[in-house]
This record gives sequence, C-alpha cells and structure tokens, in this order.
Amino acid sequence: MKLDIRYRMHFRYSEPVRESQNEVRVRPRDDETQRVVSFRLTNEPPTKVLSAFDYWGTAVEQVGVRIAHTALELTAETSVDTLPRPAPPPDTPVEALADPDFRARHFEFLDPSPHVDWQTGDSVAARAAAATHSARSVPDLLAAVVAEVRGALRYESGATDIGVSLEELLAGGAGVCQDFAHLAIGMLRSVGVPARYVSGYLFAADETAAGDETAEMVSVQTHAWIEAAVPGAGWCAFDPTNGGTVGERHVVIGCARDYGDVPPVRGVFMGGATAEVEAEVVIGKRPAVEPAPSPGARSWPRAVTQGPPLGSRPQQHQQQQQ
Amino acid sequence: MILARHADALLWVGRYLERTEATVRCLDYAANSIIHLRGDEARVEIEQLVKTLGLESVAALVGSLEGRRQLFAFLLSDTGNPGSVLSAVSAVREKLRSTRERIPIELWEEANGLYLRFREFSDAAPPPERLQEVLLMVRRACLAISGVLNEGMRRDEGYAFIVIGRMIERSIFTVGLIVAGYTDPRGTIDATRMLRLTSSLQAYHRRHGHAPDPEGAVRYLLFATDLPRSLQSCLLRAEDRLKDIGATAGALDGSRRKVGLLRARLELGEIEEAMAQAPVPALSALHWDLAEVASEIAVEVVPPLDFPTVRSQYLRPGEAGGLGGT
Amino acid sequence: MAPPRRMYPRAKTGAARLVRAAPWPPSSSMGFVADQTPAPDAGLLDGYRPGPGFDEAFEADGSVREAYRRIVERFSQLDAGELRRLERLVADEFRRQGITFTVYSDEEGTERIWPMDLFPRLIAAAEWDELERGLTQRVAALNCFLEDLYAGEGAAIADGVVPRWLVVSSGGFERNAMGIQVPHGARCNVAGIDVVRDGEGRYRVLEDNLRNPSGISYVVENRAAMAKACSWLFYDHAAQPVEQYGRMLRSTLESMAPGGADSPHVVVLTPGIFNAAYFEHAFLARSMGVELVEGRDLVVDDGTVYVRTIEGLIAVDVIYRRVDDTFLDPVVFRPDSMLGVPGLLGALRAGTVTVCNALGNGAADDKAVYAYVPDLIRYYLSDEPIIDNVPTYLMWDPDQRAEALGRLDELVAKPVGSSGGDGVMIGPHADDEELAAARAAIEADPRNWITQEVVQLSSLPSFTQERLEPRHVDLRPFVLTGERTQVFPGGLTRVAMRRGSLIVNSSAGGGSKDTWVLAPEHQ
Repeated sequence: MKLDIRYRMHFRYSEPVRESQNEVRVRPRDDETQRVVSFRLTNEPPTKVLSAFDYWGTAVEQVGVRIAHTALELTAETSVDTLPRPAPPPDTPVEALADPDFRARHFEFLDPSPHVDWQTGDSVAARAAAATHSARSVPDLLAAVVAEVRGALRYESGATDIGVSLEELLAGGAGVCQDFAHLAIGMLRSVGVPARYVSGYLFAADETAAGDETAEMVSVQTHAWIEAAVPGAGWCAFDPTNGGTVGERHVVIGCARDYGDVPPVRGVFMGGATAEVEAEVVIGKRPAVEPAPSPGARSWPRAVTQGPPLGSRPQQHQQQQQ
Repeated sequence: MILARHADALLWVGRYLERTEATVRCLDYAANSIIHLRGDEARVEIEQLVKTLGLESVAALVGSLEGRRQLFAFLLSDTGNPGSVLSAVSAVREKLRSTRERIPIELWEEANGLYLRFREFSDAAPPPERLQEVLLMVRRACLAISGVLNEGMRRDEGYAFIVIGRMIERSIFTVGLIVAGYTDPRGTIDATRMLRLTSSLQAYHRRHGHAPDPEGAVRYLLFATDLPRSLQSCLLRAEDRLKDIGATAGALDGSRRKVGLLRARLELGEIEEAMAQAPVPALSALHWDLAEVASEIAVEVVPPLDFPTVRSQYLRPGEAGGLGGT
Repeated sequence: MAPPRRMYPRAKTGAARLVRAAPWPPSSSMGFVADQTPAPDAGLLDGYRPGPGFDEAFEADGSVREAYRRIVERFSQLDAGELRRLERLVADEFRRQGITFTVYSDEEGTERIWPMDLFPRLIAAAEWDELERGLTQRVAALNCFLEDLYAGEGAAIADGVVPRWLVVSSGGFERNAMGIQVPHGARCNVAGIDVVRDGEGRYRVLEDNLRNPSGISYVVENRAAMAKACSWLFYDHAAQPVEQYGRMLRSTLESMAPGGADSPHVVVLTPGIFNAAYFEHAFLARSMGVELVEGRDLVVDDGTVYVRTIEGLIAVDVIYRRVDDTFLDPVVFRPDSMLGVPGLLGALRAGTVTVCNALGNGAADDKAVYAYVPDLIRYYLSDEPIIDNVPTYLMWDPDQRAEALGRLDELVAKPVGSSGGDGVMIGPHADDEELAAARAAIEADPRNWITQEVVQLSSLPSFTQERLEPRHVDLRPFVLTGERTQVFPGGLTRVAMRRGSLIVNSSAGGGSKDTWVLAPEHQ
C-alpha cells in the first residue's frame, strides 16, 4: 500500500521558553516489510536538525531551539510503501519457548523494563498464567493473551498518562493503545514469550477498529502495538488495541522494549511556562502520480533531513533484530 | 575568556569582601561608641548603623535590636542576615571555591582560612570581650586577601571583576552612609562618624589639618582624588577595569558607559550643584544610579541561573502528549 | 618536579637533629628505658614483624629489600614524636588547602582531611617497567573491546569471547552510547587500574575503573606535601616526578578533539562544589589551565556545544566530564537532572564534540566482565596477559556458583557494579550471619555477584602514632589514552589503617602513601 503521512506536532507555551532540546522518533523504519520513499522533518523556529539511529535501529531526529520562543512546531512528512506481512506463525509448541538459546538471544525482551514491570504486583502474571494455561501452541498462547488484554481494558482517551504501572492499569481498566501494548507485553513476558513494543502509524479512522477501514484520508494520532518472538518464525506482530492482525495499514517507526525507548517526542526546555500540545497525523493513499510541491511550502530557509544519514547503521541494526 | 558564571561569582567576591570590611568597621565603631551612650541614645545609634549598612528590612525581620549584644550577634554571625560577617565570609569562600581553578591558590587559602577561623569564633559564641579579637582577626585576614589580590593575581578578567565588585559595593556604602547622615533623626550631621566609618578620618586630618565639618567631610568622601575610598576614585577604578574587559573580551560596553557617565557628572560638578539645591534627593538619586550600574553589569554578564526551571515535554501514541514536571 | 631540595630550603633538617628534637615515646613495651637516647638502628622499626604475605620493604628473613635500604635507614633515625610532628604539619597543610574528601556514612557527608602516611612506597625501575607494560596491554584490550562493542561490529561477542547477554545486562552498559564514534577508538581516556601483590609478590589486577576513576589529585598533593615535610627523604633517591600530570592529561584530551582541531577547546565538567570530588575537579582544571564548568555553563545550539562566557557563546571541542553517564543529558536520561547538558547526546551522535571518558564504559569494568579481560587480551592483541587477574568465579554460572558457595568462608564475594568496597564480604573475616547474607544475596541475583580467592595484600611499614607497623596496601596507577597510551609513573597507594585489615578505601578509614617510581639510573 502506498501511503502519505503527515505528522504535525505543535507545542504552544504560556510564556517564552528557551533552550529546548528534543529527540523526535517519527521516521518510519526502512526494511523488508516497508520502504520509505521520502521523509522530511521541518521545524519552526527553524534550526539545524541532526539525524542518527539509536541502539534499537530507530531513526532519531534531534531538534533544538536555543532562542526564546513561545511555540514549537514540528512537521514530519513521509511517503512509504508497505508490503503484505508474512503469513501467521506456524503451530510452534509452547515448549520451544523454553530453549535456553532462544531465551538468551531475546533476554532483553523477556526481562521487565521501566514501563513494563509486572513484578511489582501479582495480578498481571496471575491473569496471564490463568489465560494461557491451556494453550499448547505459541499462536494459541498469543491469541489468549490478546483476548485477555482486551477483556481487561476498555479504550478510553485521557484515562492514563505515561508512568502508569501495569498494576494501576489493570485496576483502572481503561487506557489507550500504548497501555494495551504494555499490558500485553507484560503478560507475554511473564509467561516466557519475548515481546516488544512497536511505535508507528495506523491508517484507520478509529484505532480500536482497524479492520473495516474504507476512508481514503484519515486524521488520527500515532499508534502502538506489539511483536512477539516465535521460535522458528521470528517476530510476529499483533495489535491488542483492536484485536486485529497487523498488515499493510500499519507503518512501523521502531521496535524496542517499551514506550520509553521509542517515544515520538521527548525533550526538555528552560522556563516555567505551561504548554498546550496539539498533535495530528494525517494519512492517505498516495496518488499514482508524483505530488506537486505542497502549496503550504514556506519560502524561508529551513532545515530538511532526508533519508538515512549513516549508510552502515541501519543494516547493522536489522541484523540485531533478526 | 571568562565564564559568565565565574565573572558573576568574582563580582560577588569583590562585593562581599568589601561588605565584610564595612560591617567590621561598623562593629568596631559601635563597640567604641555605644558604651558611652544612654539606652535611648544607643538605640538611635544602632538604628543608624543598620540603616547605613542598608539592612533595615532584614533587621525588621529579626525584631528589635535593642542591646549591644543583639546588634553584635546580628552583624557578626546571624546566618539569616546576608550582610553579617559570617554570611559575607561564607559567600566569599563559596564563590572562590566555585572559581578555584582560575584564582591564585593563596587567595583561596586565605579566604578559606578566614572562614574556618571565623567559624571557630562564632561556634564558640564570642563573649563581647572577645569582639575586638574577632574584628582584628577579620580585618587582618581581609588585608591579607587584598594583598594576594593586588600582588599575586594575574591582571585578567577575573581580577577586573573582583575590583569592579569592590568598587561598586564601596560606592554604594559610601553614598548610603552620607544619605543616612543627612537624614539622621538627631538632626545633626556627624562628620567624624562618617569619616570613621569609612576609615578616612586620618586622611582627612592630614589633608585639611582641622576638625571635620559636615560639608567638608561629604565633599571629601565624594570628590577627593587622593582618597582611594572616595566615590570619584571608586568610579574611576571601576571604569578602568571595565575598559580592560572591553579591550580583552569586547563585553560590558553598556556598563562601562553608565559608569563613565556617572563619573563625568561627578567631575563636571553636576552632582555638586544638585546637592547645593536639595542634598537629600540628589544623594538618593545618586544612590539609585549606583544600584542601576550594579544591575546593568549583572544583565551584561548573563550568568546562568542557579536553579533553572527545567520542564520536560513528550508525545504519546493514542493521545496528543503532555508536559512533565520540573 | 624540580629537585625537591631546591624547592623548600627551610626543611634542611638533618636526621640527627630530628632525633634530638622530640621526646622519646614513653612506651616501655618496646624495651626502652624512657630517658635513654636511642641507638640509630633502634627505633620506630624495632620489632617490625611483617605479617603474612609479601612485605614491600622487608624480606621474609627480616632483612631490608635493596630499594628500601636508605628509606629504612632514614626512618630508623626518627622517633615517634618527630613523626607525629611531621604528620601534623602535613595535615595542617592539607587543611589549609582544603584537601579533603567526603565520607557519606550518614545522610549528610562529613569532610575529612586527606590522610597520608609518611613512610613512602617505592617501586624499583625494573618492577615498574613490567607493570607499565602490563597496564598498557590491559587498557589497550579494554579500549578495543569498548570500541568493538559500541562503534564496531561486536566481534568479540559474535566470536563468543564474552556472552552478549552478560555485556548487555551490565548496569554500566549504555544503549545510548551505541554508534557514537570517538577519535582513535580511545574510550578509556583515563583508566584507574587497581593492582595488588599476592603472597609471592606478583602483581595482580583487582579491578578496573574505566568510568570516572578519581584519586590523581591526591597523588600530586601527596608528593607536594611529602616534599615540604620530608624533603630530606628525597636527597638519596631519584623519584620520578608527578607534577606533570596536568600537561599529560591536557595533551591526551586535546588529541581527542573531533576532526583533529588545531588548538582544541577543552573543559572539565563537574557536578559542582558540593560533589565529594570537587577538589579534584578544580585541581584538574587548574593544572591543565582550562575552565572548570558546570552543566549550566554549557548549552547546545545547532548540534554544537558552547560555553557561556561574558563574550557570548564559545564552542567546546572536548569535555573531560566527571559527571556520571546518566546525568549527562536530561533529554535522554533523567529529566530532573541539571548536572548535565540538554542535547549533549545529540551533539555526540553528530560528532561535533568528544566526551571523555566515553559513555558506557561501565560495561567493561563490570566485575563479571572483568573475569573475561585476560581472554579479551588474547583475543584482541594475540598476547598473553602480563598481569593476571585475581582468580575469579562467576556466580551466574551454576557450576562455579555451587563450588564457590561450598567454600564461601574462604572467598571474597563482591557485587559486580560496586566501587569503593561497598557490599564486599571477605569470607575468612566474616561471621556466620554475614556469610548467610552473602549466600542469600548471591542466590537471589547471581548475575550481579562474583567471588574471588582472597589475596593476601602486600604490606608496608606505616605509622601508628607510636611506631611503624606493617599495614596492607594496594595501588591505583592511572593510564591515559588518547592518540597513544601512557602510564603515569606511580599512582595512588592506599593503606589499611588496622593491622591485618584488607580494606584500604579512604571511605572506610584507609590512608594513602606517596608512591615513588625510582628512576632507572638509580638501580
């Protein structure tokens, strides 16, 4: 599927702030399931944007604004081609998960991580164990966990914030896609399945019902789902928020242990201001012809980054992810 | 090159050193004068001293300063009083510590030694009979520090900032002293007292050969070119050091212009004229102008904040995002 | 250092006068009559009995080792009162200069005067030569490993020299350092390698300190104090000078400037005046002639790090930081930390500035990774280690664990990430309760524990206020790596304060000794 994605992030401050520094992870990953045709990040006030790849292979754009400013606007424009995803995993028996080599290879995705710590209480592991005790194959086990998460949480915007623990999530019973993903990862890891967090874009008007999308253009937020490692089959993706499979409408930015490793924006600034944040993702199918320059293009000089800057890095990271 | 933070710290080293000396002089004067006064007279004198040091608002916070003992404690070792000797000596030590690698080791050693010795005294709560001993110790240590500054420090920007700090503080004190003298509730301007509190009495005698009269004393303190403590001398020295900084670092031009203007008005008799018409408003305006100079320097140095407010911002999937705490 | 005798003319006190000057200690247990003038060969060292293990100054039969002959002679001519006077002199000097360290035994740290024992440690030229080669080799391999790990292909891991999970699960492994390039592949720019001598007198590495090893300022200050208090001791020795450290460090750091800048702008980054090692930070900046900055003095703009001066912003090339990894950049690590510089990591990724030591060095000084260093030397340098490790057992390995737990009372147990002796359990000195606690801790978290054979540290005569008695010592030499590797002559000798104690850390009441590397022509 050929998609155009425009992600606009707008921070407005109650008084001038200075020395803002931010890490931005919004550029889709370039790999065998999706190809990035073009990417550019523009910022206002305009400054030099630095690009690099992090440990997990995700592209990081560093945006800093030193001078006093009352608003910061970031716009990421991507054209990406997504390919059909591989077939669902084979009927690997759950016993294969216990293989010491398999576990050693994936130990970073088996241990608790800052946002996925099921060991602070008992309920997450207990519910995961109860839900999966009859599963004989890994796909059954994965399906059981996704169902359990969907039974435990209802989708509710604003019910949670970052830093919510898995225990609090279960007690509250509501959250957004990120919370669905974290709870699913916690349950999977607690029963010995290596699981990781995926940050990305979803071409669907409603992220809780990705299956029956017919729109040509949607206005949404960024999305999060998960991947689990299946012995003999590699990483398999699931979307616990809508219970559906992950396909051509999902565009991956990056995969890591949890949200803390791939936040779309993370930064600090100096000043006691309060801020209003607006963010919007507009996704549409790309027309067959090359698009004309956007009419909104501004004339002042601005920093533009395009494509991966370091030739060898992505390759190395893909190797690590296999 | 000098860090903005270091420039700021050394400026305050100069100011706190000068403040230490001024407070010690006041204490010395008080110790000698108040013993001859009646209770109500002593109270007025104490109020005047506190006013001279610009500490009225701080003193109001600690309540009444009726007795000698209270005044001594307030000026000597009250950590709640930023003008106390202990506060000033601690501040000098801390600022020098934070600039330690760019000042002569001896300067740090002397300031550290002064702080440690002073702490020994104040921890032992000095009885009034040991007051003179403490004052003598502090005065000698200040002389030693001045000696290292003058003879042992490279004439770099750091030195310039210490001198500027001293000169600014000294100017503010001298003018504040004169203002307090003119508004003395006892109705007389005590010329001897003014000269004593600026250690200028002897110099005045040698220059004029007669007992000081108020007008002569004030003129001497403001305009004398042979007196390193006079306002004229202080501004000239501050201006020279600001010129040095302008030459080596190309900075603080605004401050230099402000000081230069003030010095010129002094030289051209403009201030004398204003004083002849209405002394108190003229002196108050002068006092205010000096405070302006001090704040202009701070603005031009732009030191980093001690405790900057840092906030975090983030976006999260599914929702727009938010702000973190400081 | 210039010849010490020229520097301090007032300390021309001859040994004979020193003996006359002070009263003899009234201790009758030593067999002296109080009013007797001591014979030159009887005194502080009379009755000196080296403990178990290797004594640096004396042979097992009680004769003096050649290198120490003249020092022992000199000290034999002193009495305790004189030594106490000299110690006070040194302590006053340290106090005056504010040479202190902070002990965090309770909530608020207390500042203590740096303790120095006056009997120096001497290292003969040939002995030092071997140490120097061994340390150079070890640090070279550690640099190769870190470069391979963070900026290379991870060859050592791929070839199975070290397990990947062990490295990645180390508390000091820093994912954010991945891909950051450094000039010359030099990541341990300043390494402090703790070495000890075993019962046979062989040097062994006890631990590597590759993050922010401290102590070098005390090396230099010890020598300065020694030269003031006991200049006469230097008369008959040619000790290699130590005052050149600042110049050496500066040229090392300058060689780390990105893109080989011409006259690079180097700064030292400190957490501030309340840090326990602030004295050292100021010392380093002063002796290098560079600025000592705090995080708030630096600012990042367009990917370049600048320092705020009265002239405006001036670009920085090399930051010698004495701030821990996780405080360096609040954007990436702790948003609440203002010790660092927002955006610094972005600048590092862009390669506009070099931070020394590099981020993530903790992955190589993890004590569980330490066990692999001899293998890393063989792997990267195709060489046999010149200095051995202390025999070490990895508690994550079930077989090694079972064996070690079976004889824990004979071993030393250490948490892998600790420094300064924290949490170390010495089996032979531990009671049943301590042994049980260590056993439980190991079983609960085997990855994070190692056990080692007890090394009977070597001993040196040390002053007890009454006489000189053997006390155990270790040695922390400093190894600088930029364009090339240099070992700084000598290092910090730490000395245990109690007889038989193996704990030499100053935070645990240990002292220090001036350390002399003797010049070759002297042999």
